[in-house]
Amino acid sequence: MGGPRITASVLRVLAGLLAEPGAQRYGLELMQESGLPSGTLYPILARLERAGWVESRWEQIDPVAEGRPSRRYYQLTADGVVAARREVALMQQQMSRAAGPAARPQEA
Amino acid sequence: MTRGGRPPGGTPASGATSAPVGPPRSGGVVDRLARGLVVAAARRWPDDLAGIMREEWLAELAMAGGWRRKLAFAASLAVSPAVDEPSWQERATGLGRSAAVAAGVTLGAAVAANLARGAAMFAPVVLVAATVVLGLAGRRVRVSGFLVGAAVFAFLFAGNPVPVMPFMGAVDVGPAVAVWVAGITAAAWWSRRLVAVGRLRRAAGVAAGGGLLTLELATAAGSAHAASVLGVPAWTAPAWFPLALLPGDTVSFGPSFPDGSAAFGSLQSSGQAFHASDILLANAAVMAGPLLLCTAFVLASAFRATAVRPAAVARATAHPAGARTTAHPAGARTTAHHTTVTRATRHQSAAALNTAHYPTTAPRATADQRCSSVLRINFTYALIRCAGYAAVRWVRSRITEALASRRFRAWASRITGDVRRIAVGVAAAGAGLAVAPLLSSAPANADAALPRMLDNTTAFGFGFVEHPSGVGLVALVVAVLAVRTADARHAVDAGRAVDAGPAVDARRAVDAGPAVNAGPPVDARRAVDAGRAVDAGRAVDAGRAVDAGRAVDARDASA
Repeated sequence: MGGPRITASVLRVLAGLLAEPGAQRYGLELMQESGLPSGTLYPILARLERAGWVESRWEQIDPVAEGRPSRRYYQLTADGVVAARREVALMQQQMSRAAGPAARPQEA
Repeated sequence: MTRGGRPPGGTPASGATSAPVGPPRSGGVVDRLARGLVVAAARRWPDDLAGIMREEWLAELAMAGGWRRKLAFAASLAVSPAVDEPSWQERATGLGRSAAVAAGVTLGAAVAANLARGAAMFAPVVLVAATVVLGLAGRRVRVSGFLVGAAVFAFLFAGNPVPVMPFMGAVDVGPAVAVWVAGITAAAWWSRRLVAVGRLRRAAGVAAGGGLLTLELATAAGSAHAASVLGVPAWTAPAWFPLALLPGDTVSFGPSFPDGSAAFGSLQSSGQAFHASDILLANAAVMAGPLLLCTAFVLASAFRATAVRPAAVARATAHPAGARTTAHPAGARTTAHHTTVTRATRHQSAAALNTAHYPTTAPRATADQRCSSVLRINFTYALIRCAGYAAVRWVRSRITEALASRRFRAWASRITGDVRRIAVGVAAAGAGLAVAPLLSSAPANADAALPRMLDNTTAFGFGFVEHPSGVGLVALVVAVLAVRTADARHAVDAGRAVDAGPAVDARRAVDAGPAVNAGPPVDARRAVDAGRAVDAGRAVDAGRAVDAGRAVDARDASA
């Protein structure tokens, strides 16, 4: 299974999921954390799920009793956690290299 | 990965505790609008995800809070591409390329139509030849009838800056192009559907009949205003399109103007006597000529190789008996066999060469065992040669590996691809800049236009190339088309190079089986192989394979 194409938007989603790797999050929550609109977020989640980085499950509630439909929750898989950390770290390295030594914290 | 429904045992997520919980807000125009947008957006997703996404989005929508948030959530999904759809950037790129193709086709059709009108009595021959050429070109490219219609409208509208054509306003061009777009879209759609199910003859009939009917109706719609002004009877409308393609004064009808004075629309002139039909047909000709050629191009795109061959392969898979004649890679297999034989011959030749090259070493060692010094010299010589040969092979393999590495190939293809594109684009743009000013050969005023209208030899259009922006536009279109053509050719070449290895192996596997030409299993394999060939984009090779396969089958049948 090939990895998804890593873009800035994908990294924002991964960073949001990595903030609490074991947590399950629904779409609106991920939209708030990543700052992405729904039309950008959901295709990314679908691609990550196809790649095996993310798994989803439906909330187990009684919609009638709760008065609302079940939501779908997303969570990073074990492989996804490793891959997401790798990609985020890679991006951090590239950013720090691009920023140059001046941007690094001065040592006393 | 969890899909296809609600998994049992799923537990509420820890993150769900922070979700906004509250009664769903039902009713209201905004709610209905948002739900409608979400449902419509879900329909564009792949079948395996559409239902899941719809349920998920409706659930999120119920918890989204205020109406602004709901609308933003739904509108974003409605206007954004689905998971497998191209992005907006990719769509814009595709639209730009399609628009360039449409503009190029229109310009080419207009040039050909002007050449035909300049050929006097040979005009029909030139038009037929140009139709065939554009039809053949259309089989390689898919183009939208809407975009070509827009390009034709813009060309006819902008191509008449000096008003030499009396009836070339929006009221004339608009109906003609609108009718043409509607007719050509319907004919192309119907033909494409027939092609998809393998009914090629019927598709060709629909394309030819629909195209001619469309041209008839478009010419009539575009000349209706002129006919009403000139007093030409409406019952002659069916003859307008064919007569417009013929040299002037072939048939005359309508009111006569014996004093030769003309004051129709923008045309005010005086000269030889003429009939109203002369003006009407000459005016219709400048629309009918380019539309005829564009029709051939657009309808031929329904018969593109990539559209026809998968249908043929599908038929072959469904009917094994047909597979033998339709999707037969025997020609390709023959090629593979030829390759194997050639390789074997090459090995034999190499062995013969080696034998010939070192004929003296062993024989001399056995023939003259007493000459140990000579043997030692020969052995040392052979050892040095072997070591040198091994070193050269090692270096060559390292270089080959380096050149074949993915990173190098990506870098090289990127660099060479960009350089190639720039070179092709600049050269084509230069050619466009040089040629564009030559295209404007329309009469400069009405006095010069009238005689040429009467014999239907008026060159029309390209008035816009008298302006620098018009020349620049032509150069841009030419450059984009040239780069696109070069890219397509490069992709085909690369596809051939990449596919050659595995394809040969697969064909060898088929060759290894006994009774290759008899039995459904082999036919099925042929169909699968042919399908792979087509899917891999080797349309040209597959076509050759199918042709060659037919020939081999014919031989089998005769045997």
